[in-house]
Amino acid sequence: MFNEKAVVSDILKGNMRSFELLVNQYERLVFYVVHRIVSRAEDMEDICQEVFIKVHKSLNSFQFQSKLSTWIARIAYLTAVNHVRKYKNELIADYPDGFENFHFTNDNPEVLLTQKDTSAYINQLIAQLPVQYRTVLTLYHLNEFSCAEIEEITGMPEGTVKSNLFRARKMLKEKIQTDLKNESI
Amino acid sequence: MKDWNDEELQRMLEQGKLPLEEGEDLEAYELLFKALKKGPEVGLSRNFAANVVARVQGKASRRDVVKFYLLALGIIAVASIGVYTIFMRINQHAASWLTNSIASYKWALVFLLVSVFVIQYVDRKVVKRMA
Repeated sequence: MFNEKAVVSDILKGNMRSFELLVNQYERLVFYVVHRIVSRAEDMEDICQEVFIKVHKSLNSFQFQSKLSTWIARIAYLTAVNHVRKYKNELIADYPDGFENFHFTNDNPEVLLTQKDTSAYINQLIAQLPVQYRTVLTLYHLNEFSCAEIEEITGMPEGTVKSNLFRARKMLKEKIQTDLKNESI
Repeated sequence: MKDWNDEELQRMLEQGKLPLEEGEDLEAYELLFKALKKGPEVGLSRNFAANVVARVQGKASRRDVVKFYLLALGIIAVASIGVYTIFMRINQHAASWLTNSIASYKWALVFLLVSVFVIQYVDRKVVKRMA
């Protein structure tokens, strides 16, 4: 059983074995968050390492006012967003004003659908969504954070989190429906 | 047969309460919710945690080395000022002889000091690369 308080207190005393335990415990959470925001696979490992280095550096400022996972997810989210801003490669392709104009590209996903690899097909569709949508979908469904916790992590108001979640799922559902019809599966 | 809207369907799927009626919307949503629960196929390397620990320890030891050099420089500076002050009090002639000697060998002293730091730096780089 992972005891947050005991592990944090051990790390603050300089115990690196406890820090390794913490990394093992949260590496999947960090990877999921970073993976949805940063698309360059070669940057992923470095960014995740950077997240944990930041966690180690600022652990003494963590006051247990939120869950440790929420705090680490926030560091992961901000690190990934800063990385993308720094290299200006992904956020630019997003739709800051009118998500109504958003449309999926029509090449790769259908091929995957015909191969019946539904999960890979849907992941391809998610990867095409604006970053705000990708983030809330991942934090909510994969990391199982509540909307209030997602607000804490991303800084988006809870109402926006809920509406992004709803719209993202609706857009994906409509695309899946169209593709299912086209493929008559 | 009731026509569920998107909001209702999403809420029911979140709560795990599936409506009895089938429909295209429900079918698509079911596929979607199932896929959303699955993580990406790829992941981090197996020794990720060990690599992070090594990087944190590396940073800490670099910090220690910088602290050590700063401390050494501080001690040398304080000791030099101390020795010079003592010389000034005991024998002013000896003090001026000392400053003149240092001034005439200043480039040799600078070279010696820079060499020590360069050797230490190169040594650390080589050791790091070989590790």
